Amino acid sequence: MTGPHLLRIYVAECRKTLGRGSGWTALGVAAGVGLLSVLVLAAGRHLGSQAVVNGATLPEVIRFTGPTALSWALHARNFYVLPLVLLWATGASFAGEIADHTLREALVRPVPRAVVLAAKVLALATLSAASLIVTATVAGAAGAALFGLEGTWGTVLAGFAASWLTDLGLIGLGVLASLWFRSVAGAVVGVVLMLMADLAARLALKLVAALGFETAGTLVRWMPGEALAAWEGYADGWVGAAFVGLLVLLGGTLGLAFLRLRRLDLP
Amino acid sequence: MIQDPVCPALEVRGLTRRYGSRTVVEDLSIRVEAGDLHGFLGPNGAGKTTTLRCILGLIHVDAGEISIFGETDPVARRRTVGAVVETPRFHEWMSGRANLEESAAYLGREADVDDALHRVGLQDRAGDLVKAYSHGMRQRLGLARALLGRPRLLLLDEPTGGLDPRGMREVRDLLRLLVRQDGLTVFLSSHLLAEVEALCNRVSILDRGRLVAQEDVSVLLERQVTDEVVEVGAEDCGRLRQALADLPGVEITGTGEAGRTLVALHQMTPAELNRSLLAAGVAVSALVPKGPRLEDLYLESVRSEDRS
Ligand SMILES: Nc1ncnc2c1ncn2[C@@H]1O[C@H](COP(=O)(O)OP(=O)(O)OP(=O)(O)O)[C@@H](O)[C@H]1O
Ligand SMILES: [Mg+2]
Repeated sequence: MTGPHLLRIYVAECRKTLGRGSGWTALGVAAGVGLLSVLVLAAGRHLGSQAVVNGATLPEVIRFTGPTALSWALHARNFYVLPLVLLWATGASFAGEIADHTLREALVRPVPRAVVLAAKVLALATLSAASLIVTATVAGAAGAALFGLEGTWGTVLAGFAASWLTDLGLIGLGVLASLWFRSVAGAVVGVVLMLMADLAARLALKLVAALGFETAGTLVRWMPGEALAAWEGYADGWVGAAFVGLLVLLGGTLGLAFLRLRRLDLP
Repeated sequence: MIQDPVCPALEVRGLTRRYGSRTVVEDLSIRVEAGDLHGFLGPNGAGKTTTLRCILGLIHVDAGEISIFGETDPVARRRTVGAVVETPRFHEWMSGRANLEESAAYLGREADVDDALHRVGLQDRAGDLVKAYSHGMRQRLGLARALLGRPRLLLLDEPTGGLDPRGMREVRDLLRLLVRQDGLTVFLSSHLLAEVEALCNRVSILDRGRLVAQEDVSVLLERQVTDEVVEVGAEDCGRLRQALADLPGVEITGTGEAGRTLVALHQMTPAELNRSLLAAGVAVSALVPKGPRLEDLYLESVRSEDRS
């Protein structure tokens, strides 16, 4: 395999990933979420001191700045909305192409399966990056226009960068689920159920830890859900373990996906 | 990479594939010489598609070796191949051209998409979404995709399936042209006997996963010439059968159309048979030469397997 050949495959996968319903939905939703978050913040400023939350007026708890708008957009984006669309895109790229046999049509070409896997994952990573850039651009521009340029933008932008990494972890889980369930819905539901189970387990472990069992607390830090929340560190301080966990999650899921894909009959 | 010119285009040795406890392809060996139009004939469920999938490395094999122009590596051997497996599949939401462009990217070498579209007569509809294609158009688009990058070996799974008579003829003409002009080798599966008879110079017959014949089509046809088959009808069937049983050099092989009797002639021409029957007082109402047809040989091969 040559460099130009690999590049052409990657470009072809990007074209499909962005062109599918899930692809342009991801970008559309990314823009919508960015704009909506800023508008909600603007509405909050408009209400101003009339609104009271927990005994404090809004301006006392919220700083109405551009970076705040950007950070609201990031939270909104990462709260199920974009993760679900990305899972859908991952399912469509893997499970969808297995189910409709279009993956077979690529595999009759002189290309190792590992290359197909890598090209598809990179294309999904590109979709994730594009969605983050769209949200950041829309929310950043609207935020700056409505609230001005003051504030520390860099910190929030680091949160966007970290979200790209956590998206990769999610994509890894989606790939693995796709190869197991071989249907788009199966892949999405599979990962969502897994994450719900993970959340329940983490809550239970935290409870146990609060009762004085410290190992439970250590264990929580290595659960997939914690790794996928690594992006939150931009606000509360980065957690190294979460990023290490993310790396393990990505390596583990893609490694298993490779082993599975290599043996799979794709008629 | 230099390829040995005496290498067969495709060589399958001892291929076995099981689904659970069922052996679907068993110890199959096929040799396709370069430049051949080789038919792969077999009834439904014989294992033709399974064999093609194994050759392409889409499914694992339980035993056996496969080489294409001497290359055994599953990835490298696909370099010289263009293939259509079962019904070709496409990204429905993309245009025909975009689908071919994607395939060309995976192919990894220069491939003239427009030329391929032109060859199958789809150049005018290439911009339409595949969603809007008819079955025949999809079939032709699949063929165009297989032709991308000028492969040396075409593996085709029932390439005329679902085409109208004109479409069938166009595809057959195209395949003949490719073999004659570009020196392509074609290995095509089919259950249409007439197709293999009309198109191929060599045939492998598969039945329930096992090879039952592999020969030049002409040799297979010639072998039967001494044993001509005719269909005989008479007003009194009982009497006809009685007379046939008394005649030397003829053999009743079965029942033909409209209750007529199928007769194999060993040392007799149809005219001689007619005279002998009239002499025996049988009023012959019909005498239809059936000729040596691949269909008969094929059915014969498959039937003899049934008995064993
Ligand atoms: N995934 C599978 N699981 C179990 N059995 C299978 C599977 N795929 C194929 N088979 C069986 O293998 C046998 C051969 O199938 P195959 O599709 O290769 O036949 P074919 O010769 O191509 O038939 P056709 O002319 O109908 O296309 C059939 O009996 C089929 O039921
Ligand atoms: Mg078949």
